[in-house]
Parts: sequence; C-alpha cells; structure tokens
Amino acid sequence: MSSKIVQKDINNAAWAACDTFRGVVDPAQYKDYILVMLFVKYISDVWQDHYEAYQKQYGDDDARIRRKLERERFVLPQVLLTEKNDETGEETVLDEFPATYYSLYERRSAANIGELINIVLDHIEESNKSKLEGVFRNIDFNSEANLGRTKDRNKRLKTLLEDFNKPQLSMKPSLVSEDVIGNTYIYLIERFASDSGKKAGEFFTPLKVTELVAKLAGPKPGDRICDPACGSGGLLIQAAKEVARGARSAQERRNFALFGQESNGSTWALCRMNMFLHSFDSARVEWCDTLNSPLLVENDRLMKFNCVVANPPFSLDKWGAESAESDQYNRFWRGVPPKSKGDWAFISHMVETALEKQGRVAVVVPHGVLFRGAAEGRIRQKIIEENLLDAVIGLPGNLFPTTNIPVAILVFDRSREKGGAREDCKNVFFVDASREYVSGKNMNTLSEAHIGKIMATYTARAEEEKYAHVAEFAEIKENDFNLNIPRYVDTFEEEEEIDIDAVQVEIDDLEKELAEVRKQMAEKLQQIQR
Amino acid sequence: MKKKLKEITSVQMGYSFRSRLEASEGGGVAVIQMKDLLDDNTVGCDDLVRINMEAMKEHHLAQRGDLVFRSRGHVTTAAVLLEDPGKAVVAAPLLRIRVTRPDKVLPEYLNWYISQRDAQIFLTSRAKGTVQKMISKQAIEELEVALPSLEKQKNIVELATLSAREQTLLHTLADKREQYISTILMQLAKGE
Repeated sequence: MSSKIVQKDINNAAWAACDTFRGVVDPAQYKDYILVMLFVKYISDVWQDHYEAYQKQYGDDDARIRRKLERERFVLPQVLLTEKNDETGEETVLDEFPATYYSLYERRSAANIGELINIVLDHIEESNKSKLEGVFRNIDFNSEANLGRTKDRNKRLKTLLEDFNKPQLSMKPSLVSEDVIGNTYIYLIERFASDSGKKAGEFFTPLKVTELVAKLAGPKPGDRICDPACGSGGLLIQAAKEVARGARSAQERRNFALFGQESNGSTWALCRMNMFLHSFDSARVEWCDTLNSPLLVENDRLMKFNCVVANPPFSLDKWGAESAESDQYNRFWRGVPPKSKGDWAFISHMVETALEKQGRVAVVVPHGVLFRGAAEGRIRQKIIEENLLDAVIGLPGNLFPTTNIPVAILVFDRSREKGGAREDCKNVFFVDASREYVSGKNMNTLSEAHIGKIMATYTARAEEEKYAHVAEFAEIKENDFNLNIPRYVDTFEEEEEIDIDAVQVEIDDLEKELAEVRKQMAEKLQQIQR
Repeated sequence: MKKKLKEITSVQMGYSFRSRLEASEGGGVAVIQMKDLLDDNTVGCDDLVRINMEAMKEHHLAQRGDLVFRSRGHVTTAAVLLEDPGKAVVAAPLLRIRVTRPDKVLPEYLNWYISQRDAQIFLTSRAKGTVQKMISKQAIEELEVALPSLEKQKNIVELATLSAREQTLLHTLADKREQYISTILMQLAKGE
C-alpha cells in the first residue's frame, strides 16, 4: 500500500514540472501545456486504475476489459498508426498503443514526440466528444513557434513527460481523491495568475473572493447556476461546493446544474477540463462573448437561472455598445452603458438571466459602478427603483493579481420584485469590509474569519457601527442614487474630543521644559568652551 | 588622538538564524532585531522577542554598553544598550560592537560619533551593494574615531543628549500648538 499522497506534494511536483518551460515560453502559453499534460496524466491514471481493477476481476482478457471500460465516464481509445505503401497500396501497421500518458512516456525519446502527443489528444477528444469536444483544439505540442526547433522541442517534451512520471504525481483514484486533482489544477491556475502578472491573471479570481461571491449568491439544492464570464470556472465550482455545504443528503449534494460562458478559447478549454476534473461532467460551458452572442439560450430566449454569479472583466472597453440598442434579447432596456465601460452591460445581462421573482445575482464590480453618472447613473437608478438591489459590499484593495483597486460585490435579489417573497424589503444593505484583510507580499487576501463576519452581518442585516448600514430607499434617493459606500457607512475614526485647556497646559509644560533644557545646554556649552 | 575602531572595540557578527524566529513566551534568550533599535539610537529592550535556544555561544550575547550597528540599508548608525538586556543575542545582519578599552572611549560617545558626518562619509564610501547597501565588519573596523579625553567625551554625550531632547520638545510643541489653533479656529467657524 502506498502512503497517502498529500495535496502539497502534488502541487509542488506540478509546479516543479513547469520549470521545463519557464523562461523559454511565455507563461500565458506554457500554462496551457502544463495544465493539459496534468489533465492527460490524470485521466490516464484513472483509466489505469480501473483497468487494474477489472484485471483482478477478469484476468488478462484485454478485449473484455476494454468492452467494460467503454462504459466509463470517458474512454481512452487505441491509437493505430499505419503507413500506406504507395506502390502496393498495402497498409502496414507502424505502431499501436492506447491513447494514454503512459504510452507517450514510453515513447518520450521518439523523434516525433510532439506529433504523437497531438495524436493522442486528438484520439481522446474524438472518443469523448460530448464531454471534451474542442478542449484540445487550441493546443499544439508540435508547434515550432511555441516550443522551439525540433531538437529543443523534443528535449523539452521529454523532460515534461518525465516530470509527470514522478511518484508524487501519481493520481490514481485509489491514492488520491479527485478533489485533490481539481485543487492542484486550481492551484496551478492561481500560481500562474500571480506569477505571470497581468496577462495570465485575467482568467482568474482569487479563491477567497469566489468563496464570498458564492456564499452571497446562496445557491441551494436544485438550483441552476450560471456564470456568464466564467473564466477557468472557479466560481462555478465554488458555487457547487456551496450547494453541497447546505445539502442534507447525498442526493441533494449533487443536485444542481452548472452553466458558463467564456469568450477566451484557451481559458474556455481550461474551464472544460476543470469541470471534468471536479466531476461536473454535465456542466454546460459555452465559448463565445456573452454580451454580443449569448449562447445559453433556449427557444430563442435567454435561459433563466436561480443563481447568477460572475467576476466580469472590470470596465471592459469596446464591449459592443453599438449593437446593444438592438439587442435580440432586449437585455439593455434600462439603458445602454457607455461603450468604454461594460460593467453595467454585464450586470444588466445577469439580472435579465436571473429567474423572475426568485433569482439571485452576485457580481464583483469596480467602485466606479457605484457612483459613475450619465448612462450608468440612469441604469443604476432604474434598477434601484425596481427594488432589485439587495446589498453593496465593499472589499479591500489589492485582492486581485491583475489590479490593486478596491472592488465591491453587488447582490441583486429578484424576489424583491413585485409579487416576490421579499417584496416588502425596500432597503439596501451596505457593508464596508474594506479595512479588514490579511496583507500579503504582492496581494491581500480575506481570511475565513473575514468572510464569516461579512456573511454573519449580511444574514443578520443589522446596523453595525463603522461596518454596516441599512439604507432606506429615501436615503438612497436623497443621495441621487449614488451608492458610494462612504455616503452610507461612516468609517472615519472618531476624532478625540480635544480639551483646549488641557492642550494649553501641555504647551505650557513643554515650553517650561524647553527653557530648562536650553538653560542646561548653555551652561554645558560654557563649560566645554572654557 | 585618533584610533581605528578595531583598536578600541571588538566587532562581532550577529547570530544568523537559519529560519523564522519561533517566539516563545517563556524562552530563555531574548533576540535583538533591527526593529528594536529606536529612533534615538538606543536599544528598546521592552519588546524583545524571546526564544528557546540551546547551545548559545558566549560571544553572541549582548550586554549593557554594547553598540548594535545597522549594517544593511540606508541608515548606517548604531544604537547603544543603556540597560541590561538579560540573556540576549544580537541577530544578523546587525553587528555587535563592544568597547574593549573603556579607559579610552565611552560607549555612548562612540555611538554618537558613528552617527556624525565624518564617520558617515567614511562608511558610505566603504558600502557595498547597489540596491541594498551593506557595510562589512572589516569596513567598520577600519573606521577612525577621534578620541578626546574621557571627560570631554562625557560632556559631548551630555550636550548631544540635551540637543536631541530640545529637538523632540520643539517638534511636540509645534504639533500641540497646531492642534490648539485648529481646534479654536474650528470652534470659531462653527460658531460654538
């Protein structure tokens, strides 16, 4: 029995494997290679594990085992490489092997290893079309542009394959839980985000922020959950965990449906793999730009969800305002946001895709969303007048690898609509959590306790000095529908009441002491100069 | 009279801890770190971190009268231990300077001398490193110290202390007066 493998070892081994590429290939690119390889290694290990289990049952009857395995969650097919003789037309078999990581490892010194990896990926994708279609479309292990000339490329791929052969990276389900693999995946994504700075960080929201957003959205068993800007899918996974946390039975724990849409092709592929690793095979993740061509539609209408969460790109420029006016789904009826800032476009989309009279929306926004005027101000006013806004939660700055601006989370609740369960709730709850964080070297984070406090305050919906405030509609109206948090939550430290007389006494004392010191100095000087 | 620092003191590298300090309340040894050197160039002994440490070599321990020298960074001055720190060790990259010729030099005087222009010019000229300035043990040992009589040294230290006190008083006084005036003006503005 091998000893239990711990998360940290896997993480470290996986990160160490990245050294092969570091410095040679741009991080934004090599992350795809590493994550794809990790993915292939994982499914090969699962496959191997099951193969061995069946082997115990059926002996060495390979055909029978293969038949059995075909009913698995996914299939790793046989690869048959043939060559056609031009003269005779006869086909000769060059090589035959299962499409697994291990076959590649055995062939790691082959002159065409890059090509072989591509072939294996192709086979895996072909055989699992419904789950993995398009996932490997963006990656080419034989690319001279990305991985260098043949000799260097072969050397690099060989090291990469060898790195993943380490015992720490054995990911058989009998040794590690699938959660560990998914976590490693997320760990790598996170490391890439913080390591490579802005460029590769775009597809990532820090774990603690996703946790908070998921909690605020409050998904329940049976819910349909959507992230219209899902990136690598962390927020969806967190929302799924949130359902499981509130579930009472095993059945309830898995009772939810995940939907996502992502505009970046390689991030979308990451998301698909990430979903697969967390066994959310049925998650539907679309690849397209949400604002211009929402693909989560049924019968020519937008799909509606119980829970809509997102950390959309901040103030997206050129988001497609031109075509918003004539939007097929009429999502921007409250007004078209400015063309250089897509924030309210995402919010409008999210609110429109939340179920009427019950859907909940939690979205991460830059502070400008709270107070900017013009078109954005008008949309904001409308949405508040509709009584949809439930809470505004201000977070500390520097929580993201991509930017150091402080952000806020807006919570909308459509059960506050006319006819909804919370129709009578007319106020907006403000929380200023911007001063509580764990400061880090490059980035701040929230701790378990900070999230707990925010959630407890939000649930209690009670005033708390310098932290939370319940603002009635009249108060918001008086502020011209400006939601700037300091207008509602006063966080200025109370200035100590200054006792003028006491200060006067202090000044007198200081002056007396000063005179004394100066006298001593004069004497001393005289003494020295004498 | 001028003497090189190494002729009147012994200089010892601070103890280099291999890992993060594990503070323990009842630890037997106190550690003097950079943060314990106060702005007035004395060592604050009230908040020293205490650790458990065995195999402590005698030559790492600090005692009253020792100087602790900041060997890294832009500030290249020392701080003097005016009180007895108990069993305490100086942590690297700080250097410990111990007067070996008390008949020639007062620790407080030496401490003052190191912060003066002449000594600072010398130290800056011997500093290594581009980003992080660093003064080596050898460099500080070469520092030439002007040594008047002990009596004169004592007077210098006393006057320097008075002068420092004067500065502090002047600053506090300025702050307090500013506070006083702004409060009065605010009352006036609000018509209270």
